[in-house]
Amino acid sequence: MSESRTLRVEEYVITEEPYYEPIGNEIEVFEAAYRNKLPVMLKGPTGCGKTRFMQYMAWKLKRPLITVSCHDDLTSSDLVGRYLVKGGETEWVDGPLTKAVKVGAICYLDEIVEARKDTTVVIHPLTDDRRILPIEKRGEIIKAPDEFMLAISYNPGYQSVLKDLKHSTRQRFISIDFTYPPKELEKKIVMQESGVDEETAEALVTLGEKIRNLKDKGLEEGAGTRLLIYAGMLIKSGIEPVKAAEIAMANPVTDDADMLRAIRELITTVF
Amino acid sequence: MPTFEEVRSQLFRILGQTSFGEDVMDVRFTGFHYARGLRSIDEAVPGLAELQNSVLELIYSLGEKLAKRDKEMAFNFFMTAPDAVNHFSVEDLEKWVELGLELADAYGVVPARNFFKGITRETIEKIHSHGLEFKDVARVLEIYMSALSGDQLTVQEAHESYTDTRTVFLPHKVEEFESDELNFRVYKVMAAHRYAQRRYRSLEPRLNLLEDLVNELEQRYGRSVSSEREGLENFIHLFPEEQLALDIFSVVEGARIERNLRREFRGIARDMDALLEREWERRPEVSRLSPREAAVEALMQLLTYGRVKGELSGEVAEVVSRARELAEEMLQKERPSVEDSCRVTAEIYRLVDEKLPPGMYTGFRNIAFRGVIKPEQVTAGLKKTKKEMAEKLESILEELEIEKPPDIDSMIQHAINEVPDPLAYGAPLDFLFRLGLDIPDEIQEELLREIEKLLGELGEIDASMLMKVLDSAGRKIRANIQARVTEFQVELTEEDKKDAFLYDEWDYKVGNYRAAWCALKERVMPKGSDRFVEKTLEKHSGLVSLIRRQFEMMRPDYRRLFKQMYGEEIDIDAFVEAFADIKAGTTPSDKLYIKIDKKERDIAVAFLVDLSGSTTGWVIETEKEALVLMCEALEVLDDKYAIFGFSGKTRKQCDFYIIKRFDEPYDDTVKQRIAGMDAFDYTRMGPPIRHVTRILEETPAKIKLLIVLSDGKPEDFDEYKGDHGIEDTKKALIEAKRKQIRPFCITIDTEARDYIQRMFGEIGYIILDDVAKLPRKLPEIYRRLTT
Ligand SMILES: Nc1ncnc2c1ncn2[C@@H]1O[C@H](COP(=O)(O)OP(=O)(O)OP(=O)(O)O)[C@@H](O)[C@H]1O
Ligand SMILES: [Mg+2]
Repeated sequence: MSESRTLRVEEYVITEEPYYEPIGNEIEVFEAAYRNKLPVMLKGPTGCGKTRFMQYMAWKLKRPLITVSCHDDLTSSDLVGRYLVKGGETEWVDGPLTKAVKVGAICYLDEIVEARKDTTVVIHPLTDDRRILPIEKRGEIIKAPDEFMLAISYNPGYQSVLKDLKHSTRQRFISIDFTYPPKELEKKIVMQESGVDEETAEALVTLGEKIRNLKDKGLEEGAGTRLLIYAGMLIKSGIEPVKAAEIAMANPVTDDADMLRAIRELITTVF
Repeated sequence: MPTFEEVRSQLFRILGQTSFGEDVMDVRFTGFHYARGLRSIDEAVPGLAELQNSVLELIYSLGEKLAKRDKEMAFNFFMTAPDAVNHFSVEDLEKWVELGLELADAYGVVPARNFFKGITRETIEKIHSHGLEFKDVARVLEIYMSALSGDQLTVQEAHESYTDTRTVFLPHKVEEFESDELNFRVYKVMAAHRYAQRRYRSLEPRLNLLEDLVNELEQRYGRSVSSEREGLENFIHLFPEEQLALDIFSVVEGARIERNLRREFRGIARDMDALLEREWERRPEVSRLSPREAAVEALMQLLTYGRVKGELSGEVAEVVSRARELAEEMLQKERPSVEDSCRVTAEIYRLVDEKLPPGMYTGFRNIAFRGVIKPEQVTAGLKKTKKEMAEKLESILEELEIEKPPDIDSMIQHAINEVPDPLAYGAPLDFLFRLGLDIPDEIQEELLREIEKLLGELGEIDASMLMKVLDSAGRKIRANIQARVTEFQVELTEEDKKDAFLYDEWDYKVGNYRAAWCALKERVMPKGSDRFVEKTLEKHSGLVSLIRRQFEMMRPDYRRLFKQMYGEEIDIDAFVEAFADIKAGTTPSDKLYIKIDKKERDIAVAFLVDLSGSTTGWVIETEKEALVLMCEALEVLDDKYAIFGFSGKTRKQCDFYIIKRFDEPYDDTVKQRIAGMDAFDYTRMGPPIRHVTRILEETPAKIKLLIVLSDGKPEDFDEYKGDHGIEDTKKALIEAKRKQIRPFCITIDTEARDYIQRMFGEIGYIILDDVAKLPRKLPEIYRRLTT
């Protein structure tokens, strides 16, 4: 019971090729990391394809992918496992991390900064060349098979000092930088994912680009590819483009009134 | 009520004549003259004679005002006045007259005469509008422009709307419509149109691509290009009738960029159409204009509306139809360029010049939102951009240790001209090569990617785009190549060391500290006016209460701590887990309780304010206001806080100002010290950071924060600049971090990204584009940092 409350675990072997457009050489870098058994950190703004990339890589490397979305109540037993009582009997249940180590899966800890620091340290022994996972409760130590891989995501947008990633954690990972895809590519992605026509996709990407220009001018984070896709989906299902863009691309990025107004004007300039 | 005769004699007194011309519709246009029918002032009398004497007095005085400008306009006014009285209040009547006079100023008396012929719905709307002022929408327009242009253009108010390629000027006020919403649209379309001039590089034709034409024009008209002028000004100057050439250009080029704009931004096309429709009514009839004026106006009307108002005489009609063909042929091209517009302009100019008598050419006014083109301003803007490019280039050359060439300006011009296809992928990189820059391989790819992004923003390469390229090249090169360092040291005397805290300084070239290198002296900030705080609170009263409320919500509240050794409640989850552990035969945890606890907030924050000379005036005043608001907010919490300032001149004299110590209360003394804060000398950041670190070390708190407010790079008057200053500051911050202090920097230097990231790391800073936002932002940032 407590497991389903605090965790969102998706475990699966991906059999169908996920749609992913490479932006740079991230695929090669990731494969090299995998071969060398190095843990990877995906860095980049929200909605720029990190999760999708993980799905793609899991498919490509033919490994199951176990994703954990981290949050601040996540404890180390949530990751490693715990005893449960069932009909008077006790039963040990592996946490997602343990499961991933055992089956040689790729374990993806999404938004690792959100997790408490004492939770983060349980991954440390897995990230150096020992590649082990101690399970204190059972007095066991599991050695990770070669196929096991650990990946985390990290959005470096400015955050609370109380929550930044510890250097000792950060420096255990090789990092791959994600940015918004270049214009042509992003257009293609938006078309593919939302089903809108080329003209609409072009307009959405133009709009996204213009909004991103406001990063550091008062916007903390530009509109990610995901938001462009959302807007596209709304348009596709019959919502008026201006309205759709407003809902999906203006309101989510800011609540500064002038900024919102200016973004709305951009929308009515483009659409 | 006045008698017929009384009114008539008053009208005669004011107008000085008894009849006025009225256009007779079927009179044939003969080229220069047109016949008009006559109307007697008697026709105006009956309506006026119905009015109250007091109202009539006002009408007379307004009519007199108009008559000074144009008698016929005043006559029309008297004809319409009785009707106007029904619509308008006294104030409205006055405004009506003002509007007519403004129209006469802007477009000449003809449209103004028409204006007074009747009262249209538009006129009523206009009179009832209070207008939208630039200052009321400045921020929205600024954000809008910054987003559209990718930070290449800023907005500013002026008498008219134009751009110098760097700044977009917009009118003080728009009162076209009654509603602000519609008036805003006028601003928006103007802004978008100015942006289009940049995006499609309207103002920077490359004369080197027009060499044949330039030669031809030089020979034909005996005028020549000069390096005194840039881009468009040079081209226009080739024509003897510069105004005529500029007007033709603005019509042809206006059509070109509007087509592009419409294609790329569907939404703005809608707004443009609405404004165009409204403007149609105001366009003059071509039959009333002199031949050359008629030709330009008719060409504009045809290209914009596809029709002409009024009839053209044979000669003019011929010229216009040929001109239209030329322009449309050009517009049919796949991607017409500004150079194409220049060629067409020259051809049309020649047609007009050869076929139509000069007559009087008083100039042409384009559709209002198209603004005006000011060639001399364009030159000024482009020159400024080139100067900045030269400076950037120089600094890159310096970094690369390449001998500075004697004529850097012509080198830049040459490189700009030589980029063969400005739209080709990598053209800007080509530009860099042509500048003779030896770009290290590993930088190239990164540069290319950045350039691609820039291209997306701008579409076409122009001077300031190339400048951005130089910028990023510089940044990349700096990051890759270690710079030379000047050797220059100051001796510290015993006197300097007295009462001073001595701090080491990091020398990154040697990779070691210079021991006891800087002398820092603590000083208490002199007191300033005791009204400052009060005034600030008044000024920001709304904000103060908002911030206080927000900070109240940060107050430690009660929360449930799970898995505790003891507490008020049993933690069922923990209990179940322990039970399972026992059953499984492992040692259960004895942390089985939930404790209701006050969430702890054990925070100490030190604000360190840069008081260097560059903050003089408005920057420091705003920083002070921000600090006041910050203090007000912090008083709500139990967080410990202190405020310090720093400035200095050389390593002998690093001044460290105390505004509020950790253990001092926020009282009148502190308030007066805040008021007393002032700008002093230079920015040697290392020593004050080390000093605050020492102070924070002695302050007990779980979380220690150091927030630096700065407006520029670390820079002192001696060798403390460039990489040395940055590296030392970075080192000082690392020392602080080792002592569990979290540094964060708020800077208003929009160029700071380069160095600030080096010093404070990826997430340790924020850049504010506008100091004015600091009072609002500072508490907000603090709140975000600590929740
Ligand atoms: N390179 C890409 N190829 C294909 N689709 C992409 C790509 N980049 C982004 N997308 C699309 O954008 C959506 C958002 O991306 P994703 O969920 O992977 O973002 P994320 O980086 O994980 O964001 P967050 O940090 O918020 O979790 C995806 O669902 C996918 O549709
Ligand atoms: Mg994700």
